[in-house]
Amino acid sequence: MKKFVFSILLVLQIHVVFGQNTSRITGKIVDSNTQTPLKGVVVSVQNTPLAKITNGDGVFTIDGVPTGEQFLMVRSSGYVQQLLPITVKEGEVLDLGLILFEEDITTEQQLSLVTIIESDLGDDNSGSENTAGLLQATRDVFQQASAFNWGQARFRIRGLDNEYGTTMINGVVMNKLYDNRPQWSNWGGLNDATRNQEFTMGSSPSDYTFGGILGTQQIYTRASIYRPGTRISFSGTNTNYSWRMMGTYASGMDKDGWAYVISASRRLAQEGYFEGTDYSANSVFASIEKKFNNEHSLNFTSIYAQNSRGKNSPNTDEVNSIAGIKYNSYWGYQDGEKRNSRDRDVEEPILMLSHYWNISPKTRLNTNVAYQFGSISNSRLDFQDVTNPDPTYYRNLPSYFTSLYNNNEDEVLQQDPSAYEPGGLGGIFTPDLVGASNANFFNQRQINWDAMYLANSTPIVDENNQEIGREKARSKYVLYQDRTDDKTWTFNSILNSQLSDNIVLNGGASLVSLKSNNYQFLEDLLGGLYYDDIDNFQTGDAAQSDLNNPDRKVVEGDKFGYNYNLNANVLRAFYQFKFTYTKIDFYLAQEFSRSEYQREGLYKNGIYADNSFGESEKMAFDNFGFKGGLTYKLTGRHFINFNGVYMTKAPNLRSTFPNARLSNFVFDDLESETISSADVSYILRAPKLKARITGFYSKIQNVTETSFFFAEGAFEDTDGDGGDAFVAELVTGMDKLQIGGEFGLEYQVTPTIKVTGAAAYGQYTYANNPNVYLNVDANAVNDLPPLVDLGESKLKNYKIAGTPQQAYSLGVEYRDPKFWWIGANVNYLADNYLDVSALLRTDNFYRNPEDINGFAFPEATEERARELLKQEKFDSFTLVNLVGGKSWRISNKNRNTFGFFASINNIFDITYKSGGFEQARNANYRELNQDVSSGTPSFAPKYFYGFGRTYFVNFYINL
Amino acid sequence: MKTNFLKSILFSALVGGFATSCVTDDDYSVPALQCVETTLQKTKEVSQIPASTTVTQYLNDDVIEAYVTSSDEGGNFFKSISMQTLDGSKAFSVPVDVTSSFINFEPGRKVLIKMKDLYTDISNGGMRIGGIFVNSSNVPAVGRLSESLYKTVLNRSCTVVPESSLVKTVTIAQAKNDAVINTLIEIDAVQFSDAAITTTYYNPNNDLGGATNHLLVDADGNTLIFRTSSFANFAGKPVAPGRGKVRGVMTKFGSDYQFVARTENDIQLTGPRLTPLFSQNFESIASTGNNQFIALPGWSNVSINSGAERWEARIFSGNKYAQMSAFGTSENNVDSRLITSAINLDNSTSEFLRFGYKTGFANGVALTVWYSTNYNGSGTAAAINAATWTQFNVPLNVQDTSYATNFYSSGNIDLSGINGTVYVAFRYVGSSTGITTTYQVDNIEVYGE
Repeated sequence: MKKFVFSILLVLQIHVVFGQNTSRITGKIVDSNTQTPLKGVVVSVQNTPLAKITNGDGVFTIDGVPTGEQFLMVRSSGYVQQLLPITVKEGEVLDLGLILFEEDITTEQQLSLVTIIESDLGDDNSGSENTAGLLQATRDVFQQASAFNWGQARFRIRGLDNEYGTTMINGVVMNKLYDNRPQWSNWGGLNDATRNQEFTMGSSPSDYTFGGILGTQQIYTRASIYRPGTRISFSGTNTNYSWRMMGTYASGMDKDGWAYVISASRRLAQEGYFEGTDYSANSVFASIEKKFNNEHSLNFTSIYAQNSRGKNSPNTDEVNSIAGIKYNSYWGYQDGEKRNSRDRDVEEPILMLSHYWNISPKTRLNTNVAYQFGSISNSRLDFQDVTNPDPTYYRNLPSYFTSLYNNNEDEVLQQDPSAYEPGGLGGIFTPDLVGASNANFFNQRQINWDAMYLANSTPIVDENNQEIGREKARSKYVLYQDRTDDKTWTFNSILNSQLSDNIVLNGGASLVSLKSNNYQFLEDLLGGLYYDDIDNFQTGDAAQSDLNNPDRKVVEGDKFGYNYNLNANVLRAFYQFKFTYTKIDFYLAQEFSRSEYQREGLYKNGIYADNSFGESEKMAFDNFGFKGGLTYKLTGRHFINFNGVYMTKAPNLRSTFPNARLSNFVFDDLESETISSADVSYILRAPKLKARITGFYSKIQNVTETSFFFAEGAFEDTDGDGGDAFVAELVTGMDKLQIGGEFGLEYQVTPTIKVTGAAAYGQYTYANNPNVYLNVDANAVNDLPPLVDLGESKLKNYKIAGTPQQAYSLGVEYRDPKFWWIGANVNYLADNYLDVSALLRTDNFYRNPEDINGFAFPEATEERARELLKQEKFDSFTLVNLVGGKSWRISNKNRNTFGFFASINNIFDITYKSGGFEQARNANYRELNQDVSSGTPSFAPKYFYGFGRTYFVNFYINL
Repeated sequence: MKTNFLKSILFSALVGGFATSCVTDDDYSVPALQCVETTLQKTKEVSQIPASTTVTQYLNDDVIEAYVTSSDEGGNFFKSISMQTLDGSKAFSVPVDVTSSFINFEPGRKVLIKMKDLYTDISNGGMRIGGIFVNSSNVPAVGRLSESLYKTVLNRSCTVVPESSLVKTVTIAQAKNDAVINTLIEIDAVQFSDAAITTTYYNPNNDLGGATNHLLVDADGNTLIFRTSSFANFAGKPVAPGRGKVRGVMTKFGSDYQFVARTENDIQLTGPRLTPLFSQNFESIASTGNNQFIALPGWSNVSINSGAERWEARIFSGNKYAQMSAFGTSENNVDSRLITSAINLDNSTSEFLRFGYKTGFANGVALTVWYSTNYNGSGTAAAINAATWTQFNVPLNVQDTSYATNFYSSGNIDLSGINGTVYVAFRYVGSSTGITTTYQVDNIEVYGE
């Protein structure tokens, strides 16, 4: 092995100067309050591989320290990290005596990150898009600002989606194969139990995996590494939830080699920040370790987090201006309570057995077997033969009445032929102001549950024909869940070996096997008797969900609509060499992976009778990655760091089966993504001043994205409905470019006052014009190919949505020696954009669906089209946050403390849009032009808003 | 370890406390949905509300009472509610700009209607009560009540009568009456036409304004349009082939009476279909036109007096039929017989014969219908003359100058007294100088049980 490593060295022709003059340092670390010695504190000499952990007496000894000016880093979770300048003389022992280690009460903040990470954007069972959850335990000033100050505004570091990061528990990757995103709710609320984390930014090397280009997060749950003690906390907030209770007990290792940790929490809200968003989450954690001898330990971790919350609707400006920004259309009163129709429930327990094997003092092997099971579900209303129950359904809104047009060609030609001249409207504007003033939305803003129960029942009458009650009848409205039941097995082994003083080898292999059952689950018949399992937009056989069991009448607890399995096996292997020398550190890593996917239809869908039941074609993707980087040490305080990566990434399950709910269809030309990324940083690390400035570049090519929606006017009008259809959109060959810079600075003005600054400036754009396909079920019914190629979408240079592309933060913190602290920061966020529809930017946009020759709309002009398709940029905004806390010692004899932490975010209650998307319903020029020209568009973009002023107060006891 | 153990027990108790505190679960009880009776009282009968073909506004502060007959649950009615009085003597429709109105106004529901300022008219034979609508040619008519008005105008009573107390069983002939429009009716002993049962209720290839008109046929051959919208939730289902009763609401468009079923449940054609023992529609004949004499297997087409003119196959609007006329024949004693192939009446009872006919250029009756049980079928004048023929007493009195749009039904001609093998003869007796009336005959059918 060593030979191989050296051959790499020779190839790279890197010459390293070895430090030769060495010496010893020693010291003892005690708690600054209690003077008790601290065990397990990590002491390292900067820019050397030298690191030691203090023993039971708090004592450490490091041999072979290079002579001269050095920095000694002392760190342990929950304490303020220290960087001590020391001067080492050759052959001498430097005894540093007692080092006072101060408890860091600001870490309370890390246990209080209320992540607004859950995505309300997707209707499917996708993971979390926001990156704040990755950064929970970070110490980097920039990353802290990203998580704690900007996370509330959905800031994403480097403009990247979570699918480009890797989240692990004990080295087991937790990103879901479905969309490659982690599901934070799987361990949500267990902040204490998951506080032992390590985050590596970008493509920097992680010891456990090759990782992506966003970063890797490793959460340790090994019982013996928790600091023994009990911690109980109670929090109140007005964000996603109102109350949180959390308790954790860690035993520490006893003399028989047993250690265990248990933790539990409950979070709840009758109503969160937005109307009707109830929240209920219970989480339990247990980890137990048995150390058999110095070589072998076994640890068993179990995590059970159950989370149920009511979602919040995105709204158009029209709806928000009538009903306010906290308005949520998903709920309605039932039984005197606000009942949300869009509940998201996540319940996916994790069981993990970990084996730790110290093969030699320099080689460790960690092997894990993990099993995760359970379900994710998103509820919503379904209905047959009745009116859409959504109070914001477009026909209920005043804008519907004020954006009406007469599009009868004969009448338009007769009354206003200029409508068909370039620049015209293609119709005659016929607003109905009386209708608008009587719009249903003014009378009925919320879901009317009672009306649905009424619809699902028929009257019972007495002998005088008087209605005396209601009888269950066929349900016209039901509440159902889109549900995913996953069973995931993961086997992995991770090797860490110190090959020589300067070389570390990391390697690992893992196998993930997933069986994912996806189906519609009938949750509530809403007082009815049964529901017809048919698609009433189709007729005849095509209306059948399952031709093998046609015309089923389903009841609560039944599966219906669609039902299929996604089976996936992913094999990964990586190795990595890290070299550490006085002047330079560098690393090289390589990864290989193979992904195999298959859909197995359990229903024979009426639309796709030949291509829905049974197994699909098996899709396999082979991928690889290379990366490397170096840290060049200009001096002990100045560093230059570079990372570069080139890799390919298999499409996720979601984009492999674009119409998975109904058919086994796979896109023939589906390819893996190609990712290239590099970053370079200048780092300053001085006792009082720490700063980092980074420039980054990443290009992701060949991205495939899928989505579902109802499009109007997208097709030739064959049946008099204007070419409307429910479609799955498939965008292929998309390139994304992320370029930008990051800056972070921390300056200790006085021992008590610290100033921090952070800045992010990025340009995240689409780098080409991807291809758009639509899968149209209606075509399949009429024996036409369902996949329609719409050609290129002119997306190039449009901005990637989902994050502010600029963010700045300036903060000041005062830390009083009497155990209280207070901080404030001001943040400016800008350049957040509306998510644009790829469909609207194809040539199809101009094509008149009523013209048999497919000619463009005669009234279309390029100038107007440019106006209509211009990407909306959200207003920039400034958020001011206040944080602070205090702790008291309960007794002088031990470390028992009592304290609180409090924060107020967005003190000035600034209202801002944190995200939004175009509704693709107006899929052509005429419809969009008419809608927008009315001044009150009926299908305007929908937006998400950030929280206004929120608070968080946490009381805690550490015993 | 012991203290640790105690701590963990304490801790577990605490956690248990957490988990059970302030539970906000997602269980909701079913709402009571108690019906609240309207305080309105009837002040006028429906018959007292004036309505004419000209739209007029009703200005008095009156309340009328009616019962719902239609339902938009099945999608076959759209934005219109039909109502009738309890006795069915008066009925009308209320156009509303509301969907899913069946949730509140289901069939049988008593409704009290605040008449003040509403508009009435009679359109397509039926009375309407509603708002006002002015079309692009500035012609006013009764229009849909807006959703906001609808709730104040239509007041829901807690009285719901069973359909049985509203529905009237009528024949097809009785159903075709303006007084029946908007009432709930049931027609018994009907079935869909042969053409209908091979297709679906709504057939995109047979679309008339977003709906398909099929024909219901009774035992006498009377037909009634059965209309199904493309939005009906049974639109795509195959047309029921059986025979039985249908329930629904009568409507009219132009001069066509159209029967509209509310849901598939209204179509109770559960009995066996009435299929003819014998039928001939002449569609199998290849050549039609002048002197294209009918020559069907087993059939006889004979001029008894050795004349040249016999029954011809003709076609009009895609329909083929048999035609005979003495006009222009230069024959003065025309006696042409079109005789069916043998019809076996041994395996059935209660048989009857039915056919359709038209006349043109009529100047007298020339057609009579006969039968024989001892004709040998050989198709010669001698054989015909040798057989015994009995004339049916069937009046074919129609004397039209120009052909009617539809064939007249012969009515059911009783065959129940006849057994064995029977031949039916259509006998045309005329003269080029005398009666020259043209006769067209089609759809000759014999039914039995």
